[in-house]
Amino acid sequence: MWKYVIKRLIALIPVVAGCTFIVFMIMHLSPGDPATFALGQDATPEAIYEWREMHGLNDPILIQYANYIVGVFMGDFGTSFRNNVSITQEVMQRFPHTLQLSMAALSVSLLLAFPIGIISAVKQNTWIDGLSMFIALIGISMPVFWLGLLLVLFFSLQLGWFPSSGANQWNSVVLPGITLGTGMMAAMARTTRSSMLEVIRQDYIRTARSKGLSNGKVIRKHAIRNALIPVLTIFGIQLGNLLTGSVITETVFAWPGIGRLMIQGIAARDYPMVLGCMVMFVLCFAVINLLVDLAYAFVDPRIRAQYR
Amino acid sequence: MSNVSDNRRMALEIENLVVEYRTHEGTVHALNGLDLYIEKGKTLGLVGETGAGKTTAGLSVLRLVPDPPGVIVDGAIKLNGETIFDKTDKEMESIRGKAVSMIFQDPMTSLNPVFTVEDQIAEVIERHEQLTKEESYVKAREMLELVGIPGTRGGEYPHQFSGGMKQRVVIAIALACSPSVLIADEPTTALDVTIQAQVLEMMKGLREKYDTSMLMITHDLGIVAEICDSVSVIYAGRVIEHGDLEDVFDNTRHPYTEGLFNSLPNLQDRQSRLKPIQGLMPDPRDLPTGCPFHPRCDYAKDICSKERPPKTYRNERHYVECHLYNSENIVEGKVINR
Amino acid sequence: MSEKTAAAPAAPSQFKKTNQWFDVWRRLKQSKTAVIGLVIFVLLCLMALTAPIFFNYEQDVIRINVQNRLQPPSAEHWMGTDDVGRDVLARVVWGSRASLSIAFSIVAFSLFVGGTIGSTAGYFGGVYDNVVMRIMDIFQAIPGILLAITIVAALGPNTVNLVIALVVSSCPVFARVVRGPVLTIREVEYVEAAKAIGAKSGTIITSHVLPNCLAPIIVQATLSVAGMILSVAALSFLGLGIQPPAPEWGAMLSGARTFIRDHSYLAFFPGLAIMITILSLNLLGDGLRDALDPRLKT
Repeated sequence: MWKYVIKRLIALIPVVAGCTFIVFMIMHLSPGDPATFALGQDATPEAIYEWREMHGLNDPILIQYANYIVGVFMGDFGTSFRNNVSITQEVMQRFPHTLQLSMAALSVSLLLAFPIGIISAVKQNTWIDGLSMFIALIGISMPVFWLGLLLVLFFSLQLGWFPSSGANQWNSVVLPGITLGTGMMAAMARTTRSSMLEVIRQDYIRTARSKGLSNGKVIRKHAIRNALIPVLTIFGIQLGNLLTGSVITETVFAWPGIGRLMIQGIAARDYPMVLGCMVMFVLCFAVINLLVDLAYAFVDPRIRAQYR
Repeated sequence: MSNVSDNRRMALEIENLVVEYRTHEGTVHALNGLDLYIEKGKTLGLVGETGAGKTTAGLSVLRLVPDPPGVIVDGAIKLNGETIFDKTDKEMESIRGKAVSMIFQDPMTSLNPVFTVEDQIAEVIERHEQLTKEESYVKAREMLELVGIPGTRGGEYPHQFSGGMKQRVVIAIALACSPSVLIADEPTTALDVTIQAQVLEMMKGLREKYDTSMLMITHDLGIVAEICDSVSVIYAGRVIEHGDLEDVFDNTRHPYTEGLFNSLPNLQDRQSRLKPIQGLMPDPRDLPTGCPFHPRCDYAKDICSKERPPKTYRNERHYVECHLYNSENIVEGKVINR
Repeated sequence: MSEKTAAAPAAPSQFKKTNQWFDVWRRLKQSKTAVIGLVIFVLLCLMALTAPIFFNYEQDVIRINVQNRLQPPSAEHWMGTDDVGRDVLARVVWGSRASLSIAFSIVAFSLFVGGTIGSTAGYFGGVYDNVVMRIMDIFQAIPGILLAITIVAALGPNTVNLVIALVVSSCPVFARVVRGPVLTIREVEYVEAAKAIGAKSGTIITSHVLPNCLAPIIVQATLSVAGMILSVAALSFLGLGIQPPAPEWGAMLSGARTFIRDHSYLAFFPGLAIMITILSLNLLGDGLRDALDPRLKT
């Protein structure tokens, strides 16, 4: 098992390097000279040359990339175009906020998605099922930014229960967490339901019933664990959406995380900053996917056997 | 019926069982007045084509017909003299796996892939017997040894076992609490011929050891000849011929039963031609009127499409449901040319 | 359970081809939710097509009319007016044109590019398949919209760059969806037979292989239209998509944020429009998936 984890961690290196390469090249497609943008139209050619030299922009692009990627693996994301601060420092300072927001969203979605999905499946075609699946359908159809605005409108401006922006108060995370978690919750609830319905029809569930186990025990012990396998797949996909959604949610709620940092970087044409945020997102996404794959092994002995 | 009245001799009695599956595409008439009797310690073969309602009959005894869409419309099932339709769900749970258990057709899918085999055997022991967790695992390993698998392999998962071994595990689960009635739903169909023989041989041994009454659901007349004391031939959800093994095999009366025998390849005479039954099983959503077999029957008369034939007895136990027979000609037979 | 399905008489196989799409339509019609989705979506398309009949683009949609600014919904302006006095209804209706046309073009382009990549990779296999799919893997390791955000950020925010960005980020998904079935189907006898009589690879792919893996492609395309409408709105909301004063739902929501405290209707209607559109496509997509592959039906 550990051998597998290490193998997978090593396999992450080319993926991260590849992703960084793509993003790095895209960033360099941008028209215009960042130096002129940073120093203004009136800057002397000498000043521009010096600025470019400082940010390593006078090297050939592949050398620039090589320097950058080596830096990334050493934990150095370069310096900002805007105010020459260390991007590593900036990103690390913002990262806990994004993590906190994601955890809040994850708890919202997981705590609700499993019960809703399982109950809907067990009570298939009852009003509970109908209502849950209607809510889930609304949930996957609701744009994150609209949900955020509506929540602010109602719970913050009307009722005044939660702050509408920032991360200064203990309950600041509630609205952004719900905003970010709803889509994932809805998608997971739907998958949990269809996966449970699939599993309930399996022969081994009938075998479990034929042993004299109660309905509840059959569901709890035999069905849920098998139903979890396809749910994990959707979970992995949804985590990607969670990262994307965090960019939008952080913008709506002025949440001081990496997503907002990236959008601010784009507005200021601070490409190393944007790149740094993207690399961080890609790293998170890759690590999360690895964790999901390991979770498969935990649930399913057939997959565990392949991991040896 | 004289022999049925003595309840104490009967392990399982099914009377006039009617089961339907109500789906969007129409109502499937799976069982249409099924009668089955198994004496204590005996084995009954339930023989018929795919779709005749055999599995539904087995599931009905455990009250595990999937609902929805399955509905038990009419009939009674008595297990060791007790009517199971009167039981509460809780009571039924203590019966399943203890008084009656079932071996399912496909060993590949009958075991839960995420638990070890000993987990799955110990589970039923823990459920029904007053044993600690450790004791049930010890017993689970004993059960594995009993069905010919080293107890040390108990900690392995189903995917590490071959099909034949999985079926042995399923049998171990079914027999773990020594049920008085065992329902075996085509237990060897999914297995290779050589493994089939081993598993059958093993089941015969275990049946004697535990004095279990057995309902052997199969489409294989060879298995019936091997293991059964009596035979019920099922067609479109009804028993159309029933009797002791010798009666049905040597004094076949129903044209459908005859057709089943004629469909068997004859290894002694390789020149002889197979005589398969013409046509297919009728659509259970739209069964023919009268005798359901009449559209495929070589001997069909006018009355066959109009009235359902009554039971005609050849002896105390052997009967057919066929218009060809009346109390005079049933004993002599000779109506069909087998 | 298994007995009753097994007992159903097998359909005569020679009629299968002609009946297939009719069957899909028949099953689709049986699903109430799919029909609702289809009806809503058709109405939305009609709305997009007929928008110029009801509202003049220059006069009603983008012309600034400060005297009329920030009026709540009324008989004259059903959805009120925005901060520069434009009728919100007119902008929401015209917004459907932008969202739908852009989403459709993105899906069409991605389907074409991704489909070509995926089908050739699946069909030819070997080193080509390996290299192409590893590249797709790397693209997929970057969460979709984030990649699009990067591309738009680099190229500059406008509609063309938005389309390019979303096509690039959704290609790998289509490549994967097409490749899977192609891989299985190319081993099937009739494809072997076509190869044996010397048919060209291109002909085999387009006339034998692709038609038989249409089902997952159609479902993916339907759901992708929904995803793309959402992505276009999200990017526009972030200021990286369609630029004002052009009417776009996401951009309208972004503009409404400043006024949300006192003029909440500004944030309500564009969002509702997005949600209804996505909802209808999700309903339709679910229905199509069940209709195209009844085995998956729950």
